[in-house]
Amino acid sequence: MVDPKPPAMLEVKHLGVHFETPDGRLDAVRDLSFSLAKGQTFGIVGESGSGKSQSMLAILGLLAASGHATGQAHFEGRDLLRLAPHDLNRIRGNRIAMIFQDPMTSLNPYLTIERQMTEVLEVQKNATPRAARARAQKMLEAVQIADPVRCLKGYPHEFSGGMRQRIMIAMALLCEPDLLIADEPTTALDVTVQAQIVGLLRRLQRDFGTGILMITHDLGLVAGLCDDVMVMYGGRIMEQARAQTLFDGPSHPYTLALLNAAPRLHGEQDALIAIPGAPPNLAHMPPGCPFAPRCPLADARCNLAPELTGESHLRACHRPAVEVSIQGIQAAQPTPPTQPTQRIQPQLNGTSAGITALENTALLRVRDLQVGFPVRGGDWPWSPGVTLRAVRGVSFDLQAGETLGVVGESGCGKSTLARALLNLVPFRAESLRWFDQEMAPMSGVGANAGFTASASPSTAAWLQVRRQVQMVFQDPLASLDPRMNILQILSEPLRTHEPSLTASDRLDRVCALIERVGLDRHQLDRYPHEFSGGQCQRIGIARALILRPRVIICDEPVSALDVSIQAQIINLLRDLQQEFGLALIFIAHDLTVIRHVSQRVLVMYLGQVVEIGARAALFDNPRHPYSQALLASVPVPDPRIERHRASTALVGELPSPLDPPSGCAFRTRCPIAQDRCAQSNPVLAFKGGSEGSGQTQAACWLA
Amino acid sequence: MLAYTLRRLLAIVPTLLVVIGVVYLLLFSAPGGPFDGEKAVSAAVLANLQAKYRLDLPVWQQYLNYLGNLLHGDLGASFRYADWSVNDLVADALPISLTIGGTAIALSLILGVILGSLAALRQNSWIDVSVMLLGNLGSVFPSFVIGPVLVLIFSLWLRWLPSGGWNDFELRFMLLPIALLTFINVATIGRVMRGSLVEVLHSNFIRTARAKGLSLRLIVLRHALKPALLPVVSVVGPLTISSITAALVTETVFSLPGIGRLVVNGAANRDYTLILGLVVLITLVVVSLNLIVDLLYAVLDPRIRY
Amino acid sequence: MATRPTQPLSTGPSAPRSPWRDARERFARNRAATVSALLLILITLVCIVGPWLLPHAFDSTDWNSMALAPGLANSHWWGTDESGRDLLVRCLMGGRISLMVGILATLSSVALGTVWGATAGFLGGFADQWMMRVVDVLYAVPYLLIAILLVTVLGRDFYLVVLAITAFSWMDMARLVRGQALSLKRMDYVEAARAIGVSQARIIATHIVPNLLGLVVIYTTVTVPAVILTESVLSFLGLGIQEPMTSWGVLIQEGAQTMEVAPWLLLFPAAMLSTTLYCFNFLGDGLRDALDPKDR
Repeated sequence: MVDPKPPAMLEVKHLGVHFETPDGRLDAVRDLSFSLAKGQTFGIVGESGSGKSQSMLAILGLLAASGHATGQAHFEGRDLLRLAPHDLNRIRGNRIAMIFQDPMTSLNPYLTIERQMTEVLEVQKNATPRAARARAQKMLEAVQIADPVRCLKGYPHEFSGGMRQRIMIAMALLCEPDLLIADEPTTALDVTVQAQIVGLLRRLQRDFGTGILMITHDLGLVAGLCDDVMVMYGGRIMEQARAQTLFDGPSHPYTLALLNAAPRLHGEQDALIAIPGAPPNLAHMPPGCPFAPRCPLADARCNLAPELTGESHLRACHRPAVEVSIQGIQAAQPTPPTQPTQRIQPQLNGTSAGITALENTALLRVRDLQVGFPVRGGDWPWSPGVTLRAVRGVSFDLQAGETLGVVGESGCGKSTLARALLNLVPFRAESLRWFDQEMAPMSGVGANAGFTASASPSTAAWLQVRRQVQMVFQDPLASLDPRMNILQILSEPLRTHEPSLTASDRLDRVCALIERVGLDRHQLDRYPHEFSGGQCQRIGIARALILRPRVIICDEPVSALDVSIQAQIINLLRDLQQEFGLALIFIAHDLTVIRHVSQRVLVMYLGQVVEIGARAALFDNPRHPYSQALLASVPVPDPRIERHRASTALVGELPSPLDPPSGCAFRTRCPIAQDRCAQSNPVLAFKGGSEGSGQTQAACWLA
Repeated sequence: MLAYTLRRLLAIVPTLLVVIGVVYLLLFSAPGGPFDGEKAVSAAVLANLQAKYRLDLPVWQQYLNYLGNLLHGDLGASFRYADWSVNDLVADALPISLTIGGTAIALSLILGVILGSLAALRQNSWIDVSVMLLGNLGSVFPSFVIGPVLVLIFSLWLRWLPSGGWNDFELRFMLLPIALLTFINVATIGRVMRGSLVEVLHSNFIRTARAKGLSLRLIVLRHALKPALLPVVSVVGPLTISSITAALVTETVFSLPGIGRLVVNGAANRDYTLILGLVVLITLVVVSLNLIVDLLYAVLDPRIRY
Repeated sequence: MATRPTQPLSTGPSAPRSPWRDARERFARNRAATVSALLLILITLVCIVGPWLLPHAFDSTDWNSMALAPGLANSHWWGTDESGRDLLVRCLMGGRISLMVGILATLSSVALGTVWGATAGFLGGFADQWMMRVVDVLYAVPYLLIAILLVTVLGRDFYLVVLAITAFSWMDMARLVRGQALSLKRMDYVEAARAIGVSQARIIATHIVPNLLGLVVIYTTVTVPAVILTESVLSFLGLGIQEPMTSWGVLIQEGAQTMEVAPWLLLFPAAMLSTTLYCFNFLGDGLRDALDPKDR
């Protein structure tokens, strides 16, 4: 007995979107067709350039002026693409609502929340101002805003990102639309806040019966929320199916590759199966299947765009489904070039203390590191300054050859910590020893010594340290000087630390390294903007490696990259670490990435370490409530797991670092907080006080 | 808000003091200055100067004396005219300049905002092109070229309006000067308004407003106008300053007895004290205007509340 | 061991696209800007060379042809003024002076403004605050007044006029350069250089200065017309260039006085001045688009 398909509410047929640019025509979306029933949840997954956002913008008539839409989009019988503006306005905001990616810029900063919310009701439902205000207030309560009355009177900049997104959701649901389109609503938010928002959406969908169309790049998110999933690449549909079917058995090479390129929270940590190449350039699309240039299973047929075939499980691929499997892909891959098996010894250039057996001592020893920034305290020029304490007492060690992962959400101070380790920001510490050399500034006049530039040690001492410790930055393109070509960029460390080298020597060193990171030595005379994001990050890594340092600090090196590129860079870093015997400090906010690369993990919250331990211990058995909440918030790309997860999202907002809570900073959001937690700040300790194996140290009175 | 205002006010005082001090020193101690005995000064004028500036005192005391006079609103004695103090001269000239200048700025603001908005909403249409062209013309042809050309057309060829002069706020003498000043400013304001409105209309929150189903009229008037006006407000300050410059030219071209003419004549006649007094006055006006603009900015933008 | 690239580093269409090369190409595509550049070069050449080639001296009075209308028949192609002086030569001589003032004053204000702004921006903190406070104070007085003041006190010698104009023109450049220096300081690649251990001096030389140059070039081309304009206004008001020298401003003023009977005395110098300013505007716009495109 086949259950009858529910009547379609939104039916899209052969939708195409193109832009007329000075450089020619750009096709963002080609031949998109799908249908959506009432109350259904639908997910559209894709990376940059997939066309997922543009297709939805086109349906609602929100394209930029240079964009044109072709095809049809029927909503309750009427073609949205051909409606007069006045009629379209009756549907937008009323029957179909949309929320956007960046809550910071999506709300009008010059109008109050009340004004922005009530106007929807006044325009769409002819509501009176009073009725509109009452309804807006109720809606804000429904999205769990703490003080709706005060919220209405406020301006957007007074609220955090999570709250703004909740306000946007409330605003979108005011008219009880049939369909809510959510364009990457949580991409700009922390993972714990994301969990809150997703839980909210799920609940609202249940209560109001609204259909949700979720656009995202995160497969885990889709697994938890959506009944049906569509995968797009280069403007075309690659695959579409029920969520469980898709995750259990993807039958398109791209979907399969995407699922395996993303690091997981559980399971093996073999090398990720990276998708070679880069996201498509929409201005120069190859004929045929857009994924063909990167597909391990591509053949001559792929020059012709494959048709979308199938009944309930649609796919667009010439290869039969049986050939699309991990084994099939691996069989089709060319044999990888043999990696050099010998380990290259790191250069042991001496610090003035001389080098003894550093193999067994920690490369880095940090005790009570603090970083503060002075900010103005009040309205008057004579108001006493306040210190924003970004890092409030961090201690840890780094051993040779290991990768220490540092994870935390926005505002936890992890990036500031990275900069302090290299004296890029002024800091104070009880001790900061690089290679057994004390680098912390002499403490001034007691506890209130200001955070000024370190009096000692000298620049020369730091220069020695920098030779052994290098850094890779988050934004690949911004970390390269646009007016220098790659050779110059990579030569800069050599000129600084080995001035005796001739230009020809430098060229040799650079050439040796450039191929190791996956670039071509013939590209050395090119400039950063001619490369993709992933390639720029490879250049950044090469720059960090060229001095053969012993430690590399990676500050969110893959956060700005697509998932498929992310996998390439992660694999590269792991290989290089093996080959060069590097120790890495790997900073990220994505727990799955941290798990994949680290041997030990350090969790930060509001400038402090809340838990530190071996990777297995932390991920299998987290003790601190914050670590537990973090792990529980990460979406897993498996609908079975996601659907049945109890919602353990954190409540509340991140406290302001200018005024942290007394005692334990996490207590305001902790599910098990007690009075004791407000009185004193817990210290890192093992349970039971011993160095039990398989345990982490947690800073919690109750863990 | 109050704190912000007071802070800004406090910042003005040192500025004024420094400006006055520097100008004073410049005039009274530079070589070729008024008191080195080379310039022949009539006896009556000298008597006035002695009385007002206490020339027997050392320079710094003269300066303090001058400041004291300023606080009483006394701008001093003229270096050339025995019968009129600087105050007298200013009192006659100021209303004229204020009327012409004020009307021109008001007109150009209104016209500029309207034209700029129309151009932004109808990009690349004939309105847009003509506004852009106007903008270019107004900023390229200097006021002292447009002025005489206006006189040439309207006064000498068409004989509609007088070529200059003044008769107690009679309209026909005010039309051409106001037209000139307005034309110059409309060009800038229109261009700025167009640019900023176009940019605002591309922002994310306007996209949200469209997604809510609001009409174009509502979007422009309620959502887009306030943020689009901010750059215009910030340009009004420099515009007023340049209007003062333009006033110098305008009053010369049209022979208007305003402040600008006083400055030009004072410079030509080397009437140092008059110039000093005028510089002080104008600086005060400019600084106050800048303060008002800053406060207006803070009122319009809720994010500025420090 | 390491292998060098076997072929020479490439040139031609697939050659590396340095930002400068990109900018050159973008500029070349801008018709208005290239035409303006050529026109400006033409005007400059004519002003320099012209008076030597023409038969009349700029101050020689020809009592036989006073207030002559322009025409190609006689030797006064652009006519004469009421003293019989040839207008064409006077316009070209005036051009010499106006352009020279423009270039000299611009060079000195750019130099002063750039050094001031870059130092303030790069040092930051107290130095920055105080240096910019000086600029703010100077901004409080309308610039023309400062010029008039200085001219009144110092006199109307050519170089003093240049000095007077420089005295206030440097502030815009200082502000812009300071702003750019501040934002450059925060760039990731500057931080990367510090992390590598590059010395302050080398950072300034290799990272900050080249990235400032674009801005400086653009605003130099914007400053020149502003300076020429200021000189013209001063001269128009009778407070600028003095007899026997002449400039476009002086000529326009003279022309304005005799507009009724001899409009060409106003129109020709006004046209020359306006064309020059217009060309500089387009040039500036073109450079700005070329060096700082928004789509980057």
